[in-house]
Formats: sequence, C-alpha cells, structure tokens
Amino acid sequence: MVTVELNDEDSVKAIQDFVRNTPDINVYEYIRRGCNGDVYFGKRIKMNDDVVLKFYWSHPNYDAAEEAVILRHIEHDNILKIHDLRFLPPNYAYFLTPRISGGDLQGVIDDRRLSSKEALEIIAGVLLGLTELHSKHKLVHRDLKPGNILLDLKKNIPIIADLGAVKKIHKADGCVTASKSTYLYLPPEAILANEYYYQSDIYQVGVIMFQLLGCFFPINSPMDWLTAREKKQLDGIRNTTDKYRKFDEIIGKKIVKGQLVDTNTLPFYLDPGFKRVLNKALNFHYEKRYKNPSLFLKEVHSLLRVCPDYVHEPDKLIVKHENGKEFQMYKNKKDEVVLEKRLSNKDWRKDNGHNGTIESALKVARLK
Amino acid sequence: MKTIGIQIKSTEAIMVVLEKDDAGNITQTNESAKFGIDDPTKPNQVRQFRDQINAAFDSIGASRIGIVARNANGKGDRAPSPISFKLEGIIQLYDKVDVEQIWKQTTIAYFKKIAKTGSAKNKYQDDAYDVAYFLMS
Repeated sequence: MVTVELNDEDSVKAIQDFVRNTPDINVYEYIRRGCNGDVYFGKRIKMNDDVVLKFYWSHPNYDAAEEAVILRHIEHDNILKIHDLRFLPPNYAYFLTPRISGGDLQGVIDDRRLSSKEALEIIAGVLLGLTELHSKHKLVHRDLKPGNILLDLKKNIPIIADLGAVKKIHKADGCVTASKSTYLYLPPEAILANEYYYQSDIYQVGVIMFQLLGCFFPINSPMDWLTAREKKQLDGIRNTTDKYRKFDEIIGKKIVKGQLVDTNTLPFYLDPGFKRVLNKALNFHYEKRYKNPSLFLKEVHSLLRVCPDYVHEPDKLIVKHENGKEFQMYKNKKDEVVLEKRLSNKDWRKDNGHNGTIESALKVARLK
Repeated sequence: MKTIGIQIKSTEAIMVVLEKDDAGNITQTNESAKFGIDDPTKPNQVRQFRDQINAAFDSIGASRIGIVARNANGKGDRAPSPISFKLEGIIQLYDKVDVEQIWKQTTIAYFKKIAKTGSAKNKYQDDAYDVAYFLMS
C-alpha cells in the first residue's frame, strides 16, 4: 500500500501497480537506481520493520531458477537476508530485504576516508560472507563493489547485498559468464573471455580493498583515469551510446593491462604487506589469486595483527597501536616533518628520534 | 574426497589438506596453511582465529577432519602448551564436521600396514599430513 506521493513515474507500470497493491507493506519512498533497477522503501505493517523492495530486470520464471531457490535460504550475518523473492510479469525479479542502518559503503567512503583498520575489518566481514556464498551454496556474486556492501551500524558489520546477479557454478573449477553491470570492477578474464570464476569474486573484493585503503580509484570522476589523448578521442564522439561504448573499451584495456588498479598508488604510509596482499588478490591470472576467501581472510587478519592503524587526516597522519601508543606526523610552517607521540590519550610530546624525513618518522611511528 | 589433518605446535595450527582423485591418487592441495595467534589474551585475535578456521573448513569442504592428539597430562618437556588447548577447543567448535582426535601411535601403526604414497610438501607438515592421510582410509 502507498499513503504518500512516491513520484515514481520513471518506474514501469507493472512495478507501480505491484507496490500499490502490496497490502502488508506501507511503501513510503522511491529511488531510481539507473541500470541497477528500481528501489522502494517501506515498512512491514505487521512486523513494524523497515524494508527495501528492489526490482531487477529478469528472465521469465526467475523465482523458479536454481539461484533464486538457494537465495531464499541463505542465513548469514554478512549476507543480506531475503524476506521474499518472486518473479513479477512481464520480466522483473522482486527482492524484499531488510533496510540496513548505515547505508552502503560507497556512501561512507564518499563522505570520509576510512582508517586502514576499518578498511581491513570491512574486508574481513565481506570475505566471511563470500565464504558462505562460495562454499555452502556454490554461488558467485558477480557484482561486488562498495555500492553493494551495506553497513549495519548496530552490529558494526558489513553485509553483502544486491544478490540479483548471483550465479551457481556447478563444477569446482568451473566458470559462468560475467555480469557486465559494473564495468569498472570486472576482472581481466571477464573482459577477455567473458568468463567468471570463484577467484573473479576475489578480484572484486581486492578492488574494494584497494578503494577503501585510499588508492587511486576515481569512481566519481572516471574521466580522471583517461590520458589527455584518450579524453580527446572520447570528445570526438558525438553519439552518447558510442561515447559510453568507447569509454568502456578504454577502461577494459586498462583492466587487462592492470592499469586500472595500480597498487603503486597505495598510500605511502601503508606497510609493504598491504601491497603483497592486494597484488595477490588482483593478480591478472585468476589461478594465481587466493584460491578461496578463507586464504584471503587469513592474510587480512595477519595485516590487522601486525600493522598499526593508519588514520589519514587532511593535514596529518595518525598511527595508532593496539597498546594505546599513538603517533602523529605533520609538516609545520617551515615544511619540516614533525613527529609527536602520546600514550593512552595523554598530551602529545615531540619525538625527535627521526632524521627529519617522512620515511624515518614513519619508521619510528611503526614501532610498538 | 578431501581430508584435513591438523597439528598444533605452540601457538600455531598447521593444516594439511589432501585430496583423492577418481584414480585413487592422493595429493596435497595448495589450500594447506598455518593459522596462529600472536597474543591469546586478546579477544579479537581469538575471534579472528575462529573465523579463519571456520572459513577455511567451509571453503575446503573436507569429509573428515583430524587433529593430532596430545597428552594433556604430559609433564616437563613433554607438557603441551596451554595455549594449544585453547586453539584446539576453538577448532573443535566447528559444527559441520566432527573434528577427530588421532593419536600419533595410531598413525604409526597404520603406516606399518599401509605404505604411504607421497609425503608432505614441507617437513613441518609431516604429522598433519599423516593424520590427513590416515583419515583418507
């Protein structure tokens, strides 16, 4: 049922009618999500909880598909629970899920830079969810990106959402076709051969980790990826569809060459272990990536144990150790590197145990 | 078919994964790994260890999992580390497959009767390898 003006004229009639004729949900908001389908927010009247109604384009009888049958039964803290899933004629799949408090991860990183510990903890949670999808249900997600990871603020955990592109892999080392919904996150094998493996999901988690750690990934200004020559090529195309196609072609070439996710753009302060882990997750050859999410998780946990937490603020870098010791590094008005330390929220005191270079100050700050 | 053998040494769990193909050949997979805790007093590290073990077991999907049994009453040099029992307890909490305790004497007796084909990729994995191999029978 609908009691407010939704302004959902962009939605198709079948969906509009469905939303208005659902008696047990009071639908109060509509969001158009471009290629990702239509999204409505509502409240289940009997349960008194907020829910999301999402509609994807789908082939007929989607609700009888093997994937749909499996999705209904997934119960895991790090995977979005599906209350209801069904096919809606003429060609839509309808997903009813809980509304998660913290919104999606893309919104969070658009708003602020995560600390290295926050980033790793989110990746660890995503990998636990992915283990469930891969191992228990033999499903690949095929569209992992920050926009499809929700944050539950109550439990402080990430939740894998948007399961509309999941596909079952029937053989242990088998593959399925790639979902082309989010081009920037496609692994090389998806571009070159339209193949998608379990390790292709590992690649996408690698891209998320790359993004969360603050590497060069200008998703909100994608033209920044292009060289002046490529921009000129694109400017010469008038037809919008052709322009998008050309852009995807250029990005595809960069993915295949490993230029889109260049681990040399990792923030200077991160320990070398971060680069090693990312290089393995993002390896060009899918067989050389982590064989399963659990091996990736082990490395992420190892980084959490071994490395301090790096908090990058606009004018300074804070390095926090588990034992309560903290360092802050910044440049003073004379452009000199200043290193200060404190113990458990006491006053900052200068630490002159470095030779004035950033590298030397960082070396001191990394010591527990 | 896959089996997992585990040996706990100090603050580390050494895991070996064996796979038997249709022709009966047994090989060690590259899923074999070591899991450890730096500081067992920190709850987050204990939780991380639990998550790693559960995720690894789920990913591998072994039909049998075994752990090298240790004498809890061992004295002096033979006394097992108390932390190792903490790790063992966490491993045994895995609820999808029962984690069996296999005594070293059992595997020694077994290999007197059955010739072992192949060996562990690394020396430190020998005992865990033997347990995984024994479970393949």
